[in-house]
Amino acid sequence: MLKKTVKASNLTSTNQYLGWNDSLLKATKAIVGDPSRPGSYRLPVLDQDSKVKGIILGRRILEIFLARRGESIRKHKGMSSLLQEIVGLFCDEAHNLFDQNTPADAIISFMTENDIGIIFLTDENAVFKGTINEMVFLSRMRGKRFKIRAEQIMQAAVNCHITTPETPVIEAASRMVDHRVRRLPVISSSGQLTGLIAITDILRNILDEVQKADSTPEKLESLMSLRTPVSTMMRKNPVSLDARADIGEAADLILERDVSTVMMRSDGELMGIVSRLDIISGLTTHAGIETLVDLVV
Amino acid sequence: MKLSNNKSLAEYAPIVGEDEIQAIASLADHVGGAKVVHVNATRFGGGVAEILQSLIPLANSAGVKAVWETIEGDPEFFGITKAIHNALQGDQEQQLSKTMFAHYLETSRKNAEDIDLDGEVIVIHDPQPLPLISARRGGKWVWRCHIDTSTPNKTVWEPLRDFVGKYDLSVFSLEKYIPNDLVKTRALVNHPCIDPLSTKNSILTPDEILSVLERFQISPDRPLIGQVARFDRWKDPLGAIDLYRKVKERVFDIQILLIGSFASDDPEGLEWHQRVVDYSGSDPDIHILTNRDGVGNIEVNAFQRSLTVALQLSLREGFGLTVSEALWKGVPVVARRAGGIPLQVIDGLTGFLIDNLDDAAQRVIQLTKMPWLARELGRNGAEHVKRNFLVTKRLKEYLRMHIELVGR
Repeated sequence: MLKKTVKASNLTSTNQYLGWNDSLLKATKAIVGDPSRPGSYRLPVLDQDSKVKGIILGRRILEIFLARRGESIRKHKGMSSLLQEIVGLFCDEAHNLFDQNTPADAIISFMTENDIGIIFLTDENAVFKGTINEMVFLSRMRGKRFKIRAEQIMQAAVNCHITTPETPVIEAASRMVDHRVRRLPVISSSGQLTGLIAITDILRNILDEVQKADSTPEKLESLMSLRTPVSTMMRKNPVSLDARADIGEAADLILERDVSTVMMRSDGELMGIVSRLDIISGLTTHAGIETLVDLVV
Repeated sequence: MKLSNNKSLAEYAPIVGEDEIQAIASLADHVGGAKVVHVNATRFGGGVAEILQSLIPLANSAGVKAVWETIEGDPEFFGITKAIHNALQGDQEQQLSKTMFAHYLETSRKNAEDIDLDGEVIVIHDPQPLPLISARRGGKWVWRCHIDTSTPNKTVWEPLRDFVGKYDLSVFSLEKYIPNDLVKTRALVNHPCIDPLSTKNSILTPDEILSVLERFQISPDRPLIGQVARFDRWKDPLGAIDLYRKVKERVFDIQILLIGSFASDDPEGLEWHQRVVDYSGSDPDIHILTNRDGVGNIEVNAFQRSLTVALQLSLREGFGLTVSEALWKGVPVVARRAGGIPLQVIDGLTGFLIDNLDDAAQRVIQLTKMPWLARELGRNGAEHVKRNFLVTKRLKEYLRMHIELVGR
């Protein structure tokens, strides 16, 4: 029998968005955030009637700064003009739209089956009504323990893409884009986990450079921040946990420290990574989708 | 914007909304009438031909000058490309000998002499025409891969990857299909979508549907399950018959319909069709139909609309667009978790995802005995497709691809 006790509209976590005609520069700022407003790695793109017309990711913005996107316009108009182009030209189509009255268990099933961490809700007129992301579920896991160890659900270190402190940021950024990951653990020559660099860290530094008073169109064509080593912008002492800890502890850390990933260590060495989506998917795999549904009912 | 013999974008407005047409126009302004040449292996049969039949007129309607070329080859060539197809989808047993590879390249070289490859953008679809890049004279080249290449047979993939690396852009149906070792190349994702105004998906009257069922001697007043898919190992047509036989034990008047088409680039199709016919025995309630029986798009449309439950038992799948076709027509789908199917079949909302034929049979029986549930799932499915998988979305992704390559 289908459960229909909770609707998707009860689970919305944010209403942040970008407009179709907003510039790429504005999109970069929205993704990076500032002290007054947190950034968001993935944002819906709405038209003037608040209908969802796409989704923009931090990785897409990074691709533009790496000259992996927007190449034709950049060649004709230059980087400075490219950053003023509308985000509607560069966003992806959204294929994760649901009616706001959809049962919550169907939403959860869709997210876990497809490893998709974000859903956009609309009303019967296709007007945007909010976003559901992993934080909806993580926030309800606070303080709970599930008898599932992080090492059972983590992405093992052997399968993780990494970088070193000396690597130029442009190479680390290219690796993230090539392998479609949001972050890279930074491993020293002695094999120790020394930091973490994420797409948002790189975009934040690029944005600072772009917005400097002496920034010229010529300087924008060759960003200095991409040529510095990873060590200059990585997060030192990334949030980490013993790999044998309960996934509930990982969820608590993510909530307390407002991060999207926890590094799993053993004796200072990286054993793996646990992301928000890994926790949700892992809980479903090991404890059943009903466990996740019960969290939100 | 209208072509003389095709639909215009404005005709889609009642379905997708005027706002969507405006978004397309906004993107088309940045492409500026570029000439785009599409090249694939066949004009009929299979998903790619169907995609191009819709996409090219729409692209022209949006101001792009899109043309369509097909390559030619002998049976040996298409045997080789089918082997490549299987290998890229994960068949680890498949080998590509030097002789086979040489014939593949030589056929490509001959085709390059005969077809029009002059355009601002040249889009090469799937592995069959992949080596045409060697005949490049100008323009921006795109390799559009429609199959699941997430775990390719490496011995076959590696020589092909060298060709892929020469393209300006590669496009895949899902992000997870991008091969892990395809680095330092630009890769985009273009989700497949259905055309709601095509002959396969447009509304039919009850009389039109009945007429088709009667023509093919399928009882209109008994439950009917069915699968629309090529006859090959990946679609598990024999599994569909096994499923039907399990259901028959509880639903005595059930019928099953298996529809496939013979494409000129699929030499295994005939062999698999015969296997399915042999496996079905003399059961009058198993209907196996193909384009050679006179089944075209209108007939498929009618058949899908008459199904109680649609099946998609694919073991490997690209996207599985026939799932969206069935959902669009209000038919719930019971399917395996392959390829892009879980994006379309949401367990308990638009159909059911299953892991084995016993579970599939249980769900089919449930939906057959609970028509109210089938109606609700079907209605949800149509809404889900409308929000996420209509051709106007694909057109916008397509236009963004052009902006990436030749945008001003």
